[in-house]
Amino acid sequence: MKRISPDSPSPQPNLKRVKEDPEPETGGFMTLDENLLYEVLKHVDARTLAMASCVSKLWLKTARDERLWELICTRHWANIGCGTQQLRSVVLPLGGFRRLHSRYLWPLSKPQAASPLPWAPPKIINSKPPARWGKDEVHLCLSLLSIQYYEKMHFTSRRR
Amino acid sequence: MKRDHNHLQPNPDPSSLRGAPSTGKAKVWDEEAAQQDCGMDELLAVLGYKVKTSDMAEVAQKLEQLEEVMCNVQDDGISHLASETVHYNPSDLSTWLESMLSELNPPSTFDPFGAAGTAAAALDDSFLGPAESSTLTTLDFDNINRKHQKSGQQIFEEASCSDYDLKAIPGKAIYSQNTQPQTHDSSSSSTPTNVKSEKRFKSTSGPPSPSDIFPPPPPPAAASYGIPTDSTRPVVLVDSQENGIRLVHALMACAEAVQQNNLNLAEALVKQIGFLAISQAGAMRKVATYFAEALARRIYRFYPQNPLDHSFSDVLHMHFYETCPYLKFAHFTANQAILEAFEGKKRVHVIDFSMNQGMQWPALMQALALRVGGPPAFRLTGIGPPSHDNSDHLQEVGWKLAQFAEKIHVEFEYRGFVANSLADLDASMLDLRPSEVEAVAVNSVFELHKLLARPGAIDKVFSVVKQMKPELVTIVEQEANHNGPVFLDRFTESLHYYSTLFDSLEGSVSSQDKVMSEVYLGKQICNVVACEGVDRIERHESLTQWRNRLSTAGFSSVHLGSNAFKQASMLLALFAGGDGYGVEENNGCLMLGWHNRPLITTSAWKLTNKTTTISQ
Repeated sequence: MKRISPDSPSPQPNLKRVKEDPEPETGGFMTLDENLLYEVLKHVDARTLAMASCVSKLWLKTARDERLWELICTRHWANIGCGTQQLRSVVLPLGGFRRLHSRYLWPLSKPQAASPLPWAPPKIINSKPPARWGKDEVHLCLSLLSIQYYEKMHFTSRRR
Repeated sequence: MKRDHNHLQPNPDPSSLRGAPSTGKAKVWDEEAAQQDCGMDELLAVLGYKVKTSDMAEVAQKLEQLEEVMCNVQDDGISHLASETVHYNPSDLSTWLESMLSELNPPSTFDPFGAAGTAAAALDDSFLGPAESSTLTTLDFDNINRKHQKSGQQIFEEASCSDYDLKAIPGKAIYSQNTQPQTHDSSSSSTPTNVKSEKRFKSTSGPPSPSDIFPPPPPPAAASYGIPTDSTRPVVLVDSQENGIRLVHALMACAEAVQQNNLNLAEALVKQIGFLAISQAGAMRKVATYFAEALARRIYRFYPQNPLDHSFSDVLHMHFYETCPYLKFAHFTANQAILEAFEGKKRVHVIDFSMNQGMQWPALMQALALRVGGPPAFRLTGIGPPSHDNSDHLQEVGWKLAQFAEKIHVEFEYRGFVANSLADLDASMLDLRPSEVEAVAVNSVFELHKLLARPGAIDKVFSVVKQMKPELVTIVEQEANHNGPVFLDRFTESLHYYSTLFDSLEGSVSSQDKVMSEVYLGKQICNVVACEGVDRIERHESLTQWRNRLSTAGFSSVHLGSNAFKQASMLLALFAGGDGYGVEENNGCLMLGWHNRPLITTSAWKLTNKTTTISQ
């Protein structure tokens, strides 16, 4: 049975009802409209959103929506001075907010645990929402994202 | 007082080690582990010689004696030694030495200091097949001794003046002056049997000979020798843990020999370094190997071919970029300064002296794209060395950057310039637009020091830069002085520097990246140590020196802001092994270091006098 995250808001009545139903095909969250799901996921935190993408194909598709991850990212970070559209026009071509978050913002918000791989996010131990990201962190992460994009672009076309 | 020495038993078991040192580190450790029980010295075991650890003192002394004897023998030109040779198996070092010494007469005087620099050489020279000879006339040690004494003392001084690991060197043959000196029949022709039983040599008489004291030390019970006092000279006894110290000592001795143009000694030492390096582990081993190779190149005049295959050096550069934060730090801090300088400008132009793969610019373009008010028109001029395979490398990089810029909607213009040296450039080539229209920044990462190889080049470049009328000049350089006039100083400095650098690489994850980074650094080492004149391009200088140069040339320092500092610190936090790295601020410049040793410095400069009229 699919667990509702404790952080999500009080679910709408129809969700509560279908919670009893075990069969995935005939009811419950699985019949949930994409749009409704999207609305719900708008309010969850990063961890929940990531977990939600493991539920089913529909959930995967919805939870990977860039707009959701954009919300996750921008909700907690300091005003970096540029407009939303401007931000989107830069981040989306370079890999998107989900990648920005999982690769750079999330590891940065963790305490300095020496992770085995330089870029792998360390094990998620606590479920605290991430701390607020300052301007410098955000800029650093954006820079790293752009470098990573450039590297991939630069080297896949060369002999490697 | 007759010293009773442990009788040296011939080894019952034949040496199981082959003469050549094992190549794999694991194999070395295994063999060493096997040796532990027999009480054999591990270092020599690596070389294929079985010597009991307890006999080490005597073996060392005898080697020194042998070397003295043979040195002087060569001076006297005794060719009959060369004609009849009998080969003994040298793997049982102790008995071999005995037989050697019994054939060559013991010297009448002996200078203990003489062996300091040459003890190592003795290992090599004495590997020649011992010759049969009858008697030798009185050997005059004076000249040799004085020379060796000087070199020995010099080694001592050099080693003790250096800081960091070199401070720990105890490894010089020092003989305690407390033990009573011996008298010895200084007759030139002793019979072999006499020599065999008594091994001490001493002469207090004889005006021509220096009054040397050579009392033998008490037979050591354990592998480590006692603590020497300042005025004494402990025997070189090698604990396996002290191999590293001995290695550094050998490196310094070899460099000193090279400096004094004593190439025979240097050659012998270089070989020893090679063996010692293998017995080490980790960063020390690699550094020592690279330095040994560089020294060997210098000794044999086998200079490295300078122009590298461009694609290979690119690969190395990329791996270095990935493995450790130095280049990233350089780029980030420089970009932050450029970003701040370009605030409010509608058209910007960056002239990059260190184009390489263009890794610095995507981040800057992204930051410009996200700035308040939208991105400016971004123009980039990249300058790089010619590529050897007819591909237009600079143009390819420009193309990639253009694609990137298009993705993030930044107006982009690019031009690449190929130049063998930055001094070949002229401002007129660059198609500069008036500064009201376009703000210029000049960027140089690890490029300016190469200009110091040719006199006048750096000044020309500075004047060209001034003609460009930049808002900002960002310079990143290694924080070390590898450009001193004295070879030995350069050697010592670079040994410290690259040891620290290699140390910092140890924590990196990907072994392939690490290896490539080491090769990348190894080339620099080779250049610093082996090359001279215009070929020696890795002429690193410290921040103070660059400051002087730049202020003389008419630039004044621009402080890098706290944003740069914070970004740099966070960048380091993301790196594995981030604990060792540290960012330091030094009068507005930022330094990245490993365990408090600064390694690279980013600084920013502007023109002191900005004239509005266009100067000739």
